Amino acid sequence: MLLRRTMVKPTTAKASQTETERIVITPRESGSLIASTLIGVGILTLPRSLSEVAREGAWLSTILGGLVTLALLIIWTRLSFRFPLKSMASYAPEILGPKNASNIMGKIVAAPLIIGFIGYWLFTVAVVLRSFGEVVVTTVLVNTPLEVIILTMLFLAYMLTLYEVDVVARVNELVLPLIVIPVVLIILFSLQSFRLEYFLPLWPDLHMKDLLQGILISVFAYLGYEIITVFGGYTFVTKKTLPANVGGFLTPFFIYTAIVIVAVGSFGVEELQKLLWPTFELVRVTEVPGVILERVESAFLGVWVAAVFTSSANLIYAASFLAKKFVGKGKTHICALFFIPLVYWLALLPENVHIVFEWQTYAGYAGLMASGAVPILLSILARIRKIGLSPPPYVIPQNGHNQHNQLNSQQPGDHADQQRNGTPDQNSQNKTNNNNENNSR
Amino acid sequence: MRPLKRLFCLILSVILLFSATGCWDRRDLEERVSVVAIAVDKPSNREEEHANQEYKVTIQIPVPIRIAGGVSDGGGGGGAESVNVMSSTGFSIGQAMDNLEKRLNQQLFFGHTRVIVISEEVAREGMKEIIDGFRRNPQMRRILWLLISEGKAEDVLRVYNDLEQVPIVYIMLMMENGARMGEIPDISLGDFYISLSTRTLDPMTNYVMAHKNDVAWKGVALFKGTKMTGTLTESETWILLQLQGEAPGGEVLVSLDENELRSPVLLNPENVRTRTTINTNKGQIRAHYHVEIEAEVKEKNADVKLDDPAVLENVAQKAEEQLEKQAQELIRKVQKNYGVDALRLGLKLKAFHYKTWQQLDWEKEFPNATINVTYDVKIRRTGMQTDL
Repeated sequence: MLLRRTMVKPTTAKASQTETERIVITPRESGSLIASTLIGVGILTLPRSLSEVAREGAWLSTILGGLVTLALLIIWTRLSFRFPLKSMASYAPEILGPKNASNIMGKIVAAPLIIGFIGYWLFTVAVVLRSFGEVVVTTVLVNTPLEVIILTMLFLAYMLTLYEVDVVARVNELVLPLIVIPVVLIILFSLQSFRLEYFLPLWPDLHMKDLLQGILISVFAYLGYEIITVFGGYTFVTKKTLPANVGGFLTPFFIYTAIVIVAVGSFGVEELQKLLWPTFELVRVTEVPGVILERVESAFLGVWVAAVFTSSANLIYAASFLAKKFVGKGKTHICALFFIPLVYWLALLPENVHIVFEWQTYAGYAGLMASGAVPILLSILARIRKIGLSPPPYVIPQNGHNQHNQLNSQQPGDHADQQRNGTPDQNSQNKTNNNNENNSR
Repeated sequence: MRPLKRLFCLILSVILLFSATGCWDRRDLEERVSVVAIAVDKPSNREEEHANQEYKVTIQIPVPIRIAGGVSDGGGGGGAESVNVMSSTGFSIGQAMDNLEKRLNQQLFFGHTRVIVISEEVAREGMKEIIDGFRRNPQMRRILWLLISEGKAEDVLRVYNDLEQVPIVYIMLMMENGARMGEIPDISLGDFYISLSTRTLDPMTNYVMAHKNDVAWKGVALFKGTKMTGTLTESETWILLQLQGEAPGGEVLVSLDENELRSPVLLNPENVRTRTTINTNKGQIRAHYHVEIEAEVKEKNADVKLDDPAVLENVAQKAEEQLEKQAQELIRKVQKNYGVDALRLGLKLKAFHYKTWQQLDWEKEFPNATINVTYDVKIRRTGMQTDL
């Protein structure tokens, strides 16, 4: 089903004070957002860290970890359904604060949560950029300063914050095939060096502790879907939204699982533990048939730039957006201006790559707290206190007009009516308005 | 919108300024010394330089101008004049490389290294120090040929003939074609790394010898850890490949005469399928290899009519007997003489009988394992000639 959307730019003078308050993200874009945020830097080290604890049982860890993540993602998505046009900055105070009091009380209660989330995201971005920079600097661009690689990424992330959420969503939708197709090709080509003997035994007498640790590590690698708290409120709630989000998680899930399986089958677990960047080594031993491409790894890193960009830029956007909404005024990119130097400083703080790996673990634990405990808590509280919409009003867009169920009377505003203004004459009016504005300047 | 646009333009230009300078690593081909081959030897006369020089490293460097064959150059030379071969000694490989770099006009680049040759003398002392440096170097690829040379390793780099412009490419292609035909084990440096780190695997790699104008493949060198312990000849290696089900191996000489090798039939194995069954009874490992080979007759000098199915069957039977005998000899050799699990049996044991593998110390158990081999040779074709 095609969803025709509104223009991005706010059209009236009043609206340009704040950004568009419309539901603009299609389910497919929402899925792409999740997928491209997840596919990041975690996969570069995942086979090694898994084979250290779970040995040949690595494949099981990724699958079980994926199931845990899937459950959390569904909780997040359903939570965002309850609060259209709101991010966590708005609904956390509502849920946590006293009901009929002023908003200030709720904000005070929710402040540690929001600040914690922002901090965790920024920390993650720093770790992601630093890891990526380390890979690039050690393997391909030996003479390029690490700072430049990180700065370039941050500049790009800042550029993204100049735009509205729907632009972010569309960028992700556009970039996702760029990431997925090469990675899938690499997995297919790597199957040439796959040996069953390295991959077996399927169950190497793991202790429960090792397996749990493996699951934890893979859950860390899947982190990043928490951005749904920012983008979920601006997504059309249709029957397809939840499946789309689940699909957006399944894409990286299959990729990660396949890479772990292929890496174990190509190197064997003992060799894997010795490789600093196992996935990268997998690319290096890949021989693309028919094409005499020497050293595919440079091409792979070129593609990987897109994957890292979507992860880091989405998280920076989400953090800035959350901060803006929590403060209640300002612009996304102004918040980003505050955050980006912080991220840069954090990214260059670790002395060497091994400290970065330690940091990765910290980020993982923080993320597990943030994306595991928080949504469960909020969902339960929201359900008990009957805050937000339940069940979600399914919006069924038809020919550019939404027919939606009546919202609860509690809902402030009738935003659902202004979800789009896509009638042709209005558009032409907008154009003339814009022209007039330009002429008057 | 104006101020925002201006800001945007400013930022865009800054980004472009920064990203366009991402050419720190730009290097022209001429500015790089690509090392296409490395050889590691023991220095011969140690008194000449410092006393503690452990290694002598030789590298082969193509000279781009001579290879590209400028018009004035008369279409590019080949052999000796298109490459530079230089040597240097050092306490370690890295140090020797540094010494080489000091004498060169450009930085060394290992991204195009295709062959690493290590002399038997060095390999028998242990290659731990050598491997570490190669593993750490991000430029070094994993898909290259690691060769152990009988005699001096640098001689392999000094082999010149006119078959290829760059001498080492000739060696590389020789190995690659051998591997494609299934006569040379396809063991890369990466495979060697893997078998070094994997506890159940004993490393092996190809063994060569340099002549004046060419290089001969001589089988494989077997390792225990990083130390070389012995070699297998060409025909033994082929049996090994068949047992592993990796490749059909090279030709088989079948003598129909019991007493001596006269007027033989030459069979060329085309396909191989191997079924391995492992029985673990009370800690006693019994492995059985059943090798099915499809072969074709390449040459016949005996006075028999191969068109007769009964005769063909007889030839196949003789071939089976012969191969089984060779296989048993090979197994005795690796079990009793070397104690090296060249058959990769330990890996299979670990994969399919994990519980048993955990309980025993395979390294100690391998020489006591009972290994049986049966061959099944099927002669598919006899060529373009009839014997009527």
